[in-house]
Amino acid sequence: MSIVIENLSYIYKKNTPLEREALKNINLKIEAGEFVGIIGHTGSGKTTLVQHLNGLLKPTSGRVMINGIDTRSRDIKSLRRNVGVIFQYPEHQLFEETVYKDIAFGLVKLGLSRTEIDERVKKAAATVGLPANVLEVSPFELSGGQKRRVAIAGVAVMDPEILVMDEPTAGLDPRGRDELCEYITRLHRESGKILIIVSHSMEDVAKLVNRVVVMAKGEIVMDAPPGEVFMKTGLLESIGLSAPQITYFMKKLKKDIPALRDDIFTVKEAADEIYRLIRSKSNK
Amino acid sequence: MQKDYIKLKNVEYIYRSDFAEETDVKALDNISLEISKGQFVVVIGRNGSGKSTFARLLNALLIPTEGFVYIKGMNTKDNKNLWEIRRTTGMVFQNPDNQIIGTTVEEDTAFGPENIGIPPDEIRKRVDEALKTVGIYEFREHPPHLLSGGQKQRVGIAGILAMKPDCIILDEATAMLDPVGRKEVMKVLEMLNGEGITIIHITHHMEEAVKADRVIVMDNGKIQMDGTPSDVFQNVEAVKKMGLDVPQSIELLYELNKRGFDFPLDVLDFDKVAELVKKAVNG
Repeated sequence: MSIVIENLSYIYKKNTPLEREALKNINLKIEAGEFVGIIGHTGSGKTTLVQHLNGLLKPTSGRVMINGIDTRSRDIKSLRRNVGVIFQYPEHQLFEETVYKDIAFGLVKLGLSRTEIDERVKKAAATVGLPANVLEVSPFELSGGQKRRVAIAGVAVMDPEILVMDEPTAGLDPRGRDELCEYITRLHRESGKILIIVSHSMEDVAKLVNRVVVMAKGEIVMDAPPGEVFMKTGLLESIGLSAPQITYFMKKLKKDIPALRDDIFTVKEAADEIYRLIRSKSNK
Repeated sequence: MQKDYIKLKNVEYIYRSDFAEETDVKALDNISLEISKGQFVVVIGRNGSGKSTFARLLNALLIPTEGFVYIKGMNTKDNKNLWEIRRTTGMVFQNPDNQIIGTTVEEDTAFGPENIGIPPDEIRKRVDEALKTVGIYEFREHPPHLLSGGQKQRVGIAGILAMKPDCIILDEATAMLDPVGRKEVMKVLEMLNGEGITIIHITHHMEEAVKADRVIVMDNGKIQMDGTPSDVFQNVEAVKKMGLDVPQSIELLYELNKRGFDFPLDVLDFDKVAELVKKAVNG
């Protein structure tokens, strides 16, 4: 499975006074097993880009190839089966009487056997950390974090080879957010799928992905591992983003303690590094 | 300073079920507290802890099942106080798109004062003032849906300012915003608070709680902690047990202590954390 985007441009409301070029000459290649974070200021084109991956939008020029097949070709059904997209606040799309039925909805439409549906629903629920006893309750009785997980399970259960999540942790309380991050990590580790998250949370991106695509004004301005991206604080700030808070702290501290590493993006890494330094000094 | 500017006395709120008493939900359980005029209060708590119910009681969108809520001495149970209470405490909700109704920014801001019968030239003055205060005056003729999330929430705040409130309540108003939008809104709140407006801000973002005079932690419909940000957050384990986070400065000190150090846990300022670390490194 692969995603190949070549010279993609997209113009909203072409030939009207409101014409706006949302994507400009995007080139991007994503291989099986990659976990990519897309970051960028509001209006930078992140969501427009991911809407091209399952054919919701078609390129104004250039092309998007999913597994070698152009998204403009007619077979939209198999495209959607390959690419699952979880939109912002996906729990607003829950509607069934029970959690089980909601997760199973897509599978039922595929006409699968009851045993297969049962197996897959239970597996998807377990992957996102939903206990078996919530399967029979109404999704509307669950907490915000659990509802979000039901919605994600409903897409993951279709077993798409590419899974795209737009702001998966927005609006969750801290524990809901941490738990969801854990399940997303597990999903990636166990499935080997291509995972793409769009996020405003640099802390989440630093924790989760192994490649960051930075967008500004419809263009890709950086495409590198998180370590490299978050070291470029000047560039990030110039496009309305920032590095994780802890990175700034370590950079500042390094001015007084030159032996300190400052390519640090999570609080745990920072504690490890400070601990290492203090211990090495006291051993001397 | 008026100490019992907002006062809750033994407040209980129950969401009644349509089916049976067993499925009633007690959202707030015997809450008593006072908020002084001019305080900047942040309320935190996991989803379902009762925060939003609490907020809705403060401008009489909800009336307590048991107990009383007084705003500037006005009982929210008394119908004749309703208008005055709503004018005193304005509310900003989570989703900016659900609360904007005007076709231009200034029209939207004028909606509130129009409804309470303010004369047109006074409305004009208030709208201009409110839009300037939140830094959105230059967009006054724009359609609101073309603004960014942070700008929309500032329009929401302007609409309340035009009512000349004493108190603004924000129910997760920064949840849907990007980091830049969140900072914009926080800056406006700090400025308004500096001018004496009471702020009650419900949020999941702990770095916003750091800016408050007072942090109230809710869980299971009860107030579990109530104090200054450093008072509350130094109880790292208790806060985490309730499914919440602590600000990153305290998180770092806590992680270091797990590795065998003995740092104080009540430091909210990263510069002070840096001093502590430097001292430890240099022996």
